Amino acid sequence: ATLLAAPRPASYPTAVLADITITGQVLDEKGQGLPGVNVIVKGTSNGVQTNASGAYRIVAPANATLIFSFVGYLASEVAVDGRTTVNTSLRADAQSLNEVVVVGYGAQERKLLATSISTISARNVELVPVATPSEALVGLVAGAQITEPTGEPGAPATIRIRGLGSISAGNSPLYVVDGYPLNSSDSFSQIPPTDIESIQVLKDAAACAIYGSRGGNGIIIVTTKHGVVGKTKFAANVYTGFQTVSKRVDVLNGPQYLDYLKEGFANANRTIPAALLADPSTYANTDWQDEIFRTGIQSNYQVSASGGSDKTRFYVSGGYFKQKGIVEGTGFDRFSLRANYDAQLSDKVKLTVNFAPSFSRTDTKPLSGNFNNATISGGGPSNVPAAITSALIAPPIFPVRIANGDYSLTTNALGGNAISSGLFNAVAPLDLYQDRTNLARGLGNVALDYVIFKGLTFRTNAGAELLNSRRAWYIPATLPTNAQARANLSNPILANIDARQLNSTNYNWLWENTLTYNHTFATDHNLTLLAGYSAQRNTLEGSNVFGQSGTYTNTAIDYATAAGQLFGSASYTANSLSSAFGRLDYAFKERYIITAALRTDGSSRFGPDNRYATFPSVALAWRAGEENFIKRFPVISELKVRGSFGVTGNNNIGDYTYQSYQTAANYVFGANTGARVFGFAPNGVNVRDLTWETNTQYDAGFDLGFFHDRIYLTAAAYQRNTTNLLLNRNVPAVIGYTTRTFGNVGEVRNRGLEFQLNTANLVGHGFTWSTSANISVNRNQVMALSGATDQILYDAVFGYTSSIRVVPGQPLGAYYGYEQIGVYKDQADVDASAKWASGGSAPGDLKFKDINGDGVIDSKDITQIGNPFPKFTYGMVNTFGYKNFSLSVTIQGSQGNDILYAGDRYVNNFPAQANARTNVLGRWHSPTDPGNGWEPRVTSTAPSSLTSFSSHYVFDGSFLRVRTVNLRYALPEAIVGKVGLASASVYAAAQNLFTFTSYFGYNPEANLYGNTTAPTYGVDQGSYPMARTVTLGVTIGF
Amino acid sequence: CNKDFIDLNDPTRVPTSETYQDSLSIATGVVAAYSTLQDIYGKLNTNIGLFAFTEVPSDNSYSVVDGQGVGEFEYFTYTSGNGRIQSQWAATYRAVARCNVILSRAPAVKLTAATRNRYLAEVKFIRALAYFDAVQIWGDIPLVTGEIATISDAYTFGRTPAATVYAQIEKDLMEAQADLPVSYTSANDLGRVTKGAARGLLGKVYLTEKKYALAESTLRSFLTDYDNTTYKLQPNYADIFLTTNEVNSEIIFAVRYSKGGLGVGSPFTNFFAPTSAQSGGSGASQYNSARQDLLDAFKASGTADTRAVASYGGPVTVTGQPTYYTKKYMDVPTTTGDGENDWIVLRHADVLLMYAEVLNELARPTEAVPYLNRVRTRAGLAGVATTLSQADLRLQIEKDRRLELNFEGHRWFDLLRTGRALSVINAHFATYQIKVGASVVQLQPFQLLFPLPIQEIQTNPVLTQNPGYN
Repeated sequence: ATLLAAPRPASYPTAVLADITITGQVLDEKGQGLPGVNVIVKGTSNGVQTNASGAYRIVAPANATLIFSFVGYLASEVAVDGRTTVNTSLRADAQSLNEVVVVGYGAQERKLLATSISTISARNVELVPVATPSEALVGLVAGAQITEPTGEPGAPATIRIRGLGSISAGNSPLYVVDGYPLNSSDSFSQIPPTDIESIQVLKDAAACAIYGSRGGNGIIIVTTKHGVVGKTKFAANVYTGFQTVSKRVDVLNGPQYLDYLKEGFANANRTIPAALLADPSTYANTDWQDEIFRTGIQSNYQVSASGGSDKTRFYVSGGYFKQKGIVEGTGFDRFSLRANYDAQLSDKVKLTVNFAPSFSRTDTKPLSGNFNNATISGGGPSNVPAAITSALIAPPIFPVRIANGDYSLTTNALGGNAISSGLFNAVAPLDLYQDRTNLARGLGNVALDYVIFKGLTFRTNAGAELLNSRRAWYIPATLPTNAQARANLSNPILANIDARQLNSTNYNWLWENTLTYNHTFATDHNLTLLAGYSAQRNTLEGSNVFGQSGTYTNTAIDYATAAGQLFGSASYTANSLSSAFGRLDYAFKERYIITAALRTDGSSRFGPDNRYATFPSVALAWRAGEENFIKRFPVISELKVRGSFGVTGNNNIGDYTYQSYQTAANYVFGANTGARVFGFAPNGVNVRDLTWETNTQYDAGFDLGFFHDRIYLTAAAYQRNTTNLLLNRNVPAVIGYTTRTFGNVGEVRNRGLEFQLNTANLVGHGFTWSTSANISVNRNQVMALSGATDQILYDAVFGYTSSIRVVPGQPLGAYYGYEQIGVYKDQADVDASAKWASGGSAPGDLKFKDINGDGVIDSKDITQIGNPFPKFTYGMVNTFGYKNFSLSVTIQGSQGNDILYAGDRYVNNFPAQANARTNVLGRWHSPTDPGNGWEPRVTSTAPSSLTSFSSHYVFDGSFLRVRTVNLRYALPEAIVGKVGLASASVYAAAQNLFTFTSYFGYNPEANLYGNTTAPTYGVDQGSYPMARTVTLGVTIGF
Repeated sequence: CNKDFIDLNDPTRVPTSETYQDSLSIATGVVAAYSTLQDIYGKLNTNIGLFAFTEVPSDNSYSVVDGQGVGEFEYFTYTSGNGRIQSQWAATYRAVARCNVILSRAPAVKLTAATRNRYLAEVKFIRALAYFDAVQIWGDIPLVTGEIATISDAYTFGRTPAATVYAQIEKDLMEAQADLPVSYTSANDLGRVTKGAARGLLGKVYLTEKKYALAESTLRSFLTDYDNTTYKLQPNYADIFLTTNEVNSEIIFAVRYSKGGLGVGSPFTNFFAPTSAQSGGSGASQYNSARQDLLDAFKASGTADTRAVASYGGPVTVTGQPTYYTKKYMDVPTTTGDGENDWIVLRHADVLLMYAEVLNELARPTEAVPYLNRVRTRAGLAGVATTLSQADLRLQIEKDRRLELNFEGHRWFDLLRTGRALSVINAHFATYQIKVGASVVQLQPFQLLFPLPIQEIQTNPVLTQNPGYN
């Protein structure tokens, strides 16, 4: 069903007519009287309210227009037209029951839904000052964990629906934009939030099964804005503002650092180098965080035109978004265009065209990860120092640059090697390293609807998605890197240069055909049948060109072409999917509802013995609120209970994974030194039965509305079992070509509860207040892996070996290490306690729990010490209105998630030399001055207990964040009309205004590994801080 | 649904299912089988190599750097989880599988009979060599002689008695020597298996099995056909190992390597050299360094023995201790692991010493002595008297094999073959007071076989562990 605005009433000639008394009744959609409706004579303050049966009486001129309004319903204007009886009915507003929810391959009235779907409408996302729609969704959706692991410009939020089921095939939902299932979530991320009409989050398997082998991680369905019939409307939304680092990490200043350093040398019985013995005030006191952070600027310009006649409708918009990041040298900008066109070509044929090209540019820098080998966003060169990690550990007594203009390093500051840790300069990579990605995208589709006869519609939909990315990075000869640590401005090293251009083209096409039959039999039986066939193919081609290090002639040209010898590589991968699907929706008296769906996917990714997969689902709902025994309670406006069961898949198992290919295995023949001869051998064995990961999900829930849905609660409980996990498991080596191969083994379970409560707290003409709150609880557990003794081990960061593990019986990616119980107070404490096996323990050292009680602390005492998943997450939006002002406040929070802080990894690897956080001010000094009992002594020859991963580095990441505050003032119509505008408002918006947390780091949602498939969550090592954004904006319509 | 639409292959690569159907893919498949010898004998990032099993546990060498679990072989402290044990096992079966696929597919491919037979003979030799090394390391091992078609089939392979494995090795070598050429006409083929290589290895197999009569006849025919013609001793011992003198007249079979960033470089300089300066500026690990026992053996041999100076260098001080590194694999690698040195598997001096050994075992010591003395003479030493008793000559041959073939991957297998491992190694530990903790290391009888890799046993329960390990 399509909602079109009612035609405007023809205007009457203005004449003075006598007042008449008008009576009537206002009904709701069920034909029942609607009490409390405001009835106002337009243009006056003359108004009444309907009584308990919805009846009213009002005196008004015979040519007046009456306005009927009630919270939760669309206001209606009715011309009296001389009548004395004016009956009308009100339709429920969007957001409430009659809202149409876009489901896969169709739409459904919300009240007739039997599945779990959350809806976010335009007004929730369009004025949030963020780059991507996923960021605008933070805190809004029950049952979805939407986090921002990095504040990097242009980086989207990570969306996970109902927990994580997969270990290696990814946990990203499927994104469907205007009916097009995307290959790349990036095509979703780059839709300007202003262009979005609604976002539906499909959560249970019954809702997702219509997308079969791609529905296992949930589905995000996006509908962009389309034109509505009427005069062409223009709208503009412009905002600009500044961004600052929302939080800093407290580290030692110069004098504190010198104390710490000298104590560390003394404790190690080492001589303090003479260069460090001068008056502390004579050294630099550099705040490295000041040096790398700046005030960022974020601006957005968006204009649109929309309108249409009864035959054609259009929506066209263009936008430019620009963000200068809060870390020097980072930034993102995007040009976007959208043209949506609908045309009724004939009585039977309708055409829909959606076309959305965009272009973006991202400047990234080496920021996070290992101090000498940054984890660069999107992958990148090795051995480049990480700027943020370095800023947290660089000695404050080093100046940014030394006297000759070179960047300070341990090898050149203070005369050179006063401390011997080989730390890097935090500013140099921001100044010198270059890395830009230009990404051109296009997403377009054309659909034809043909009405064969009333109720039966054939639809064909064809489209394509194109992403063309060109990235260039450049390490100049002057950047100190791990490979060439002494490179500097005065010492360019040609071997250090790495210039690369990486190009990739991703194209994806789709053709879908569906038949939909909708009919209502004998008034009470509503039936919709859907059958369809679809084909989709995706191709990714890439190439890159780079110069050989050492063959560059100089550092003046930042292209690979400056090298004397060029190298390159190319790649190609493709997959295709061919599917048949169908769905039955049946409702009896809008009371008893059944939805059943079935999809069969044939995928090129599946092994030939398992090429086709079938995914069934069924959902039942009972609108008990329609039964007479509930109708007796007038306060209850809706009561629906529902339950569903379904099977969905995750087909992200990689292209060609099941196949074995010939790979080079070369040898040497010939006289003397010989020459290479080429050989080829299989790289593995065919896994002919390799298949999708299977999600089996049960869902039960209810909707409960009171007082005409002024209070509306949706609750759901679910259990999602993911089986046939794609794991690279050991196979007997006698196979010869491999000792590991992918197989479908293992199981992960997610169970959870989710609640969404919407309330209209205050309604009426004056002060209004509404609240939308949600809370989600998810419990994740690995049930089985490929073998009984199997564990999958990950190193959180270099040096924290096997600190993240996938262990049956535990949540995915639990943290494993030693459990700290304090520090050894004195020698007596050491003597009386279990000691560190490798090198012993001394007073002031970290004291760990002797888990197995054998009197020594060794690897047998490693235990689970953290869980990255929260106990629950929540969000709440409060919206206030008073006259022309509106204020909305979104808060978001997470409780009980642990963070693995790896930023101290190098503090303790170079103890007493790398700078430390101010927590070390509470350190153990001596048995008589034992500090806070938690922070160990400092010694420049630290025991390995300090560098081993322990609970000393695990922190509670619970937080409550004031995510968005948006204050808006709509200019009075009288004023805007004078300047020829239809509407105008000004607003101020703030993002990430406050975060309440005990976590000291930049971002309690930090994750070094962001959106990667491996289950390594909550790792913070120099994460890009969240920006606090304050913007001022204007929207106008004309 | 259109089946072709979803039947996609990677167009940038050749699917295994479509290969081995023409002469070219058989030829490249044979090369790939040779290439696995690099894995067995040592290659950067795949398997450190056989020396960890044949030199480090013996009284010849030790690992200065306890890297990659190699140090555990020095004191027999390894467990079945040692990564080198797993990678050696995997390299062995990689070689076997690449040979098996040629043996099963080549007969159906259009090739001239001579070429086909030669290819088959080459891979039979490679398979035999892989099994021969493996059976000496582990004893009973799975014997795979055909292609494993599916993953589930792989779980059916338990351990085969060593005698059956030896029978297969003998059969492969017998068949190989029948079809292999004495030498290759094209210099481009230098390094491929020859008739002499198969016959020489077969002699060693018989000797190891104590089938002395067969060993004698096989080695005798080798010497009759090739001695001082096809194969002869290099006049100067040190020249055998020069990177400028590869595939010299003494080499019967070697695993070939070539440097230059081609992916077929030799890792041994980086493994064995003491400092980065000696390994071309990149890292060196000094895994295969001379034990004092070997230095003392050279000292006892006298200063005239030219093999000492060609075998080791030093002292180089590492953490206050003098260390002596092997000089047989010195080069300047292009990058880490990219050196030139071949790994010699079988050379003429080895055959001469084996023939001396077998004659002595057949109670013909007088005939044996001249073969031993040829090797001694080349080393600058006087010959031993032909009057030595069988027992004395046995010890003399053992001593000369050690000094002649040190660091080349023979010592541990030699001691196993002669049954002297327990007494020699334990005497070595006692003499030099080599300790783990407070007590002197003691080689236990069960440790004459290495453990099967735990990963394989856990993956496939039909595999059993050697006694004494878990």
